[in-house]
Amino acid sequence: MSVGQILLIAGAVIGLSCASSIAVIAIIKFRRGRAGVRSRGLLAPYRRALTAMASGEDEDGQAKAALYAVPAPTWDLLRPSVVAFLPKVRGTPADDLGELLRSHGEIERATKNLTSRSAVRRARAAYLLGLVRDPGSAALVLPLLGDPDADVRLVAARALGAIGEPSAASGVLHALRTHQGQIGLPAWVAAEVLLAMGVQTTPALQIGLVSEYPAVRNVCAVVAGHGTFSSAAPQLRILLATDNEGDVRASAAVAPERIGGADDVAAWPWPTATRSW
Amino acid sequence: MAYGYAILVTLVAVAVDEQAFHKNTRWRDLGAILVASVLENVGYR
Repeated sequence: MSVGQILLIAGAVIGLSCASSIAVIAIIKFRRGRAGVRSRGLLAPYRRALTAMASGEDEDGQAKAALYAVPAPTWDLLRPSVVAFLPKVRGTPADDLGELLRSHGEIERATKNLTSRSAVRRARAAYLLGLVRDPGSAALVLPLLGDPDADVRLVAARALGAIGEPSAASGVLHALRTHQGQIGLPAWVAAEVLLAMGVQTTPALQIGLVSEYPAVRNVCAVVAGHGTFSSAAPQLRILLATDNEGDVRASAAVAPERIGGADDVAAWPWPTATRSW
Repeated sequence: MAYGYAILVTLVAVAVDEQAFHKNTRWRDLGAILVASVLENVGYR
């Protein structure tokens, strides 16, 4: 076979591949368009009901009844909209949407998926349980703080923050520890989660302030300061005066700004207190 | 041959993009991308 023939065949193969690619693009676009039209048609009867439930205007319960009766194939299409509404609402609408998810078996499915082999499924399950904010889910999500996948640990921590169950605070602090060279949980995420859990995390913070792990002490000092947990003030003064880690001392030095008193000025390191900013 | 291969790579990328992200809502946008996948080899590269 001559070089010219080889080039001709290669050119024909590339040309055919280009034509096939264009055909594939057109088919994908066409099928997606049809699926979109079908989906909009199926969802149209429920759009008003979902909006009524999410805005808390379903006083007669008609929207609730309609949404509870959504058949399974339509629910698969409606589900993303329900999940998308959840982080945007509070109070009764959030509770109603959570119950709607529960009635369609989503909570049960998410609970099962917490132990899935797929990290994406575990993370999605934790995210959903966090959105629903059922305190009973905290104990189920808590083990994911030790998940081998860092993203799953992150989502699980945020889910616990959304649930706001203070009994999970010690688990969040435990997840801050480095395991096999990997950071368990970023400090700022843990701090946000603990702040979201509120003042009832104080006992866990007080234990964390004397932890042997600097990351734990640091986060506890930050949270105690930002959350104005004044009962932690004595321990923060001790950290400021004695801790070996600079970051921990820095966090402990900032905290009295919010929870300290006039006496704390004397406890500040002299060069810091007199620095001109 | 090289131009044909470059066009093919772009077209495959567009196909994957359309399947995964479907950002192009109008047929006209998709047509513009297909034309650009050929024209980009004339002068641009």
